[in-house]
Amino acid sequence: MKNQLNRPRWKKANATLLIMALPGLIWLVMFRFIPLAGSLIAFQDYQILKGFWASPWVGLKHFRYLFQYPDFYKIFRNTLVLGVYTLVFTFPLPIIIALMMNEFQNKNYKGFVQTAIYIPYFFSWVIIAGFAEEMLGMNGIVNRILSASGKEPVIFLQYQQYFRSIVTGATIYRESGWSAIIFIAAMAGIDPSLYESAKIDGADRWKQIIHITLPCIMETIIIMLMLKLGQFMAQGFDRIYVFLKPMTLEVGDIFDTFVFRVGITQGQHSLTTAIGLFQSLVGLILVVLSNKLSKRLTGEGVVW
Amino acid sequence: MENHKIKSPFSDKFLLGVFLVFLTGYALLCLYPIVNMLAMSFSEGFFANRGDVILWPKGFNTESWDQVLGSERLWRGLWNTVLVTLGGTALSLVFSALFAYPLSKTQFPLARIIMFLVVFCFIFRYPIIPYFIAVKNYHLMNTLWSLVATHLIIEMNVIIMRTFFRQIPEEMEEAAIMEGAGQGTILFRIYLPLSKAALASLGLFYAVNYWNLYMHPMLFIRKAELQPLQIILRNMLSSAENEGGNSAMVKTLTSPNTLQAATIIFATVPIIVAYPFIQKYFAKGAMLGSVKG
Repeated sequence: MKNQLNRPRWKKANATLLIMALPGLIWLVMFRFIPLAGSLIAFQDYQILKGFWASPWVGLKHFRYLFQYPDFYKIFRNTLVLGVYTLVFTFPLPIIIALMMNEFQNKNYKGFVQTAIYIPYFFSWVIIAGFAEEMLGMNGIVNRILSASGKEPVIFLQYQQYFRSIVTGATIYRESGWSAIIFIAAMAGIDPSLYESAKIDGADRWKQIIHITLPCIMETIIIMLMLKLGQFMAQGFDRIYVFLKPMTLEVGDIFDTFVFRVGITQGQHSLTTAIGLFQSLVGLILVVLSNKLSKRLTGEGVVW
Repeated sequence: MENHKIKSPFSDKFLLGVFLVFLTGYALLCLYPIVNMLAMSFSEGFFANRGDVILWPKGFNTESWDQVLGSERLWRGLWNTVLVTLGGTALSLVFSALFAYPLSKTQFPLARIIMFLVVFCFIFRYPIIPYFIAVKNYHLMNTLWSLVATHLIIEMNVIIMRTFFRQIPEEMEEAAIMEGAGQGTILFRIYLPLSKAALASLGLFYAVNYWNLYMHPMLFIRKAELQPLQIILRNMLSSAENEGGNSAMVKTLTSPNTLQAATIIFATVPIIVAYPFIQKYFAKGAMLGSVKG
């Protein structure tokens, strides 16, 4: 009865709701679905002057070329290695920071530490790279320490062998504090009575951390790890590009930077779109897998 | 019970001491580059080149700052970035709220399918080349609009906002409907005022994203006078670096190092000034990011 009464009102409401959703829908079509449909140029010899409709179709030509192209394996390897570096070395520190913060009650001290460690997240990669240039440059603090201990100064940013460490270090600097927030929040939700009874049983702080805090945030840890795994292919253009120099291209060139350089600057649109599609597909598979894995391990998905 | 009697490898005092040293050290490490750049920017080039400046200026002078503050390029870049950030954030919030609201309604028959599209876009990344060609075809090249239009919506933020809207009790809406309110009134009079904290956090995310845009202006903006701060900053930093070798041993007031430092500080000041005001929304924002609908 009530439902029937409401029906005309809901019809009107639905019309309003559709109008509200319209700007967002149009945006999705313009900036997501049309580019996605435009990915079909990976199967064309796209020429910018002819446009999409007049460019000739060539089937899988670019994909075949890609898999025979030595540079493709190089950038694939670079993307993988940098991804593994990032995942392995940036993941633990936020958890450690949060575990440590959790042991302090003094509000002023906590406030100071939080203020300091969140700031870098708000700096662009251009600024972070500027910091790195100064710290690791000829007159930077690192070389000063080196020369004080009798070693030759090194311009670290110009050497291949340091590239991955520098990018990983810069990522740790920029994002560790920010990433700790989620674990700090998870710890705030732990039932205090757990600690009370542990104390009565005579557990000291170390034991409380190992047997209460860590198990209680394990679910959050797994979800965050899966989230990072899902983002493996999308490592961020800026983060790499700001450090890339001709000397470090050999190890630093990843899918994003390659597509930018060869696609935009050299105008090889179809080939780089094929690479982009490959990257998106692998990314999609990773997200689906990590979501499944997360659901199996914690009962909760990462994205849906 | 036996188990608890075994001594832990670390006593409470020792543990707290280690934590205190580590956390304090890490916090200071995070601040060090900023303090060092600040000291460097007020130092004499000669000392900066020798690597003598650590925490405090040496050979105090404001020559580097005079040059940086006199740089029309930097001010124009800052102006472009401020325009994009303020205008973009406001528009993004309106777009996201309007989009997230219908998606939060279970009675809205299209909600599920549209939500699926949003999540799909979130996990399937569009290849950058056709995206670039599309924006080019919309005649957005060489306009600040190219930066705003492409970032009006961030899928994740829409998902967060929808989750937040869903937590608002339905009774509030039902009461409003009884009094004859339409959906527009409900969104703007009831939902948005109740979502101030979420709006502030999302606004912060959008603003930081606009402020730090780097790849997009490289893609879409070739005109020098429209380039935002990050691009100008990058160009100035690279060119200062290239001049590095020549003036290394000359005793001058400025050096590439001091100029670089002043430029970097110039670009970070707005963030540091805004920081205390936005700080209280971080934790909430990061928390919101973790809730799914």
